[in-house]
Amino acid sequence: MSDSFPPPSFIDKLPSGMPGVDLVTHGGLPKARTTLVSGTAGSAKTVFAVHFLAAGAASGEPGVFVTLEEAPDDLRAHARSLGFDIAELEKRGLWRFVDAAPNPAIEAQVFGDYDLAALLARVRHAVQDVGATRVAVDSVGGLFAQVPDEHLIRGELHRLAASLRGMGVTSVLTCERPGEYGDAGMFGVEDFVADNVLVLRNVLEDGQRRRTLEVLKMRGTSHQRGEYPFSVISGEGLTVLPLTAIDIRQRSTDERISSGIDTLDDMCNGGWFRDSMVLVSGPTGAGKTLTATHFLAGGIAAGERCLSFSFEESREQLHRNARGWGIDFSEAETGGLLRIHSAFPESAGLEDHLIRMKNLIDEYRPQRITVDSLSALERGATAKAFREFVIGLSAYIKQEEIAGLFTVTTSDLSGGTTITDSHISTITDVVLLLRYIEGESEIRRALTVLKMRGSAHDKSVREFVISSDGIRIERPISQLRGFLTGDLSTPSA
Amino acid sequence: MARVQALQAQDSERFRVDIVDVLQRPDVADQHGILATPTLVRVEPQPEYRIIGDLSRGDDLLSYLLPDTVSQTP
Repeated sequence: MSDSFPPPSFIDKLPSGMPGVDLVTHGGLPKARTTLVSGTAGSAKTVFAVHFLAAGAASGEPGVFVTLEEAPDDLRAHARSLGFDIAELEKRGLWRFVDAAPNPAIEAQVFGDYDLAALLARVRHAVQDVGATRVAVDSVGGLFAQVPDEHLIRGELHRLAASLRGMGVTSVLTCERPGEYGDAGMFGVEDFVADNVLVLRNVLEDGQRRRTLEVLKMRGTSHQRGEYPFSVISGEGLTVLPLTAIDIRQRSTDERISSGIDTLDDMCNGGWFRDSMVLVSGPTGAGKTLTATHFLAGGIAAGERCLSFSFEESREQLHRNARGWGIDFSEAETGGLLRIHSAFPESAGLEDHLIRMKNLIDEYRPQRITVDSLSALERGATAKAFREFVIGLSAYIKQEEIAGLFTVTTSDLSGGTTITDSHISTITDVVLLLRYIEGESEIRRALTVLKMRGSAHDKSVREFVISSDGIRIERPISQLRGFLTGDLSTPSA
Repeated sequence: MARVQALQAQDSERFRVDIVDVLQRPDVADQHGILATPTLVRVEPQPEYRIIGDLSRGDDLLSYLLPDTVSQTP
């Protein structure tokens, strides 16, 4: 069936209000149009529909939810677990249900011809009654379960879409998909409301579930291409992680900040740039957490708010460690200059960690953050998910102009080449390597500034010791080979 | 519709038929959760039972509407 409306000269978009969705869709869903949200069972179609309406209601736009499958009571309960109080929105006239879910208590039989004029009239009535600007229809499959004529339903859905469009309503229509990949949606609906199609996926990958959203098409307007991971969190609804879609407004600054270690600042020509991403790489016990502690202490000393994400040690352990090195974290925490967020890496998926971290960053607005360690988060994650996490986090903190320090544990005791992972090293501005070196009958520690973007720096390998004052960097070690590969030895002479 | 109205005319003691235009009264359609047009709702006797479609095939309306009654009186 061809569309009887003339092609618009341009298409306005209505901000969906769902985190990340508007970045991926370049501004939201096409205004006064129907967007088909297609996905397999369990792909969060209903969550999308509920969140779309709730986000609108939150900004004073009334919405109508046409439910064809779940009873309104079930949806209210479901939505409450996502953090949306539908009953309250209904009370305030911002939400109206059109209940077209099958009623198992009533038997119905079909004899002869019919259309869905009653349903369409109810939707129009509800839209006019609350002055809705948004409508969600969830899901088309529920209709096919109640009335058998697929051809008729497609025609009626088309009429519904045209009617909503005529009323200037922006709508979302959810529809089942038989598989995660492949062209066709079920029931041939994609061919009817075909101008705008979003696909939600829930793919099993290396034993892990991964949710993604893809804008399949959005005719006449631009959008991001490809799949973007998203997460459904209780109390937050649906959040898309836009990764590369984040606008990197990195302002290069000449301002330098202290690493918290004077000699290291000297090696870096006066400190790190204010918007630096610093990667500290080394084997276990080499002093990565200590380096991060110095970095936090340096921020606190300069009166900056610091946020520490610890995935290896508890808050108490960090306090105790810091005390051991003569650094008092508890005063900084009470004074509001430090916040420590400690979590088990396995307590949530990477997407969920990322969303929590972003929320904490948004709330606390730190000037410095540390993540100790990235390697702990990498455990049990797929390579793809981990890459997206690192890119997502670093893009976000760059955007917010926060100085970030990430630690990475090399598997090999003497070093190794974890940092060559291209997705980490290319986005970092400073790479600091910590290594063990074998001296005569003792193991010593050494560090070097491998790279520092946009600045001269000391390229020597320096020995350092850990004392009651923390890290003390000593003289350069000469004639040392194999620092990068980890195959180290000092000259025996 | 004419056939349903004819029932009432035939035996107004036994049958009472209300006709609702959903375009005029979408609120009534909403109360009863009606999707399709036409839908014939048997409110009494309970349990509620629905017939969707125009019954244009000349079928015996009563046998659909009151299957129990018909089967009891052959």
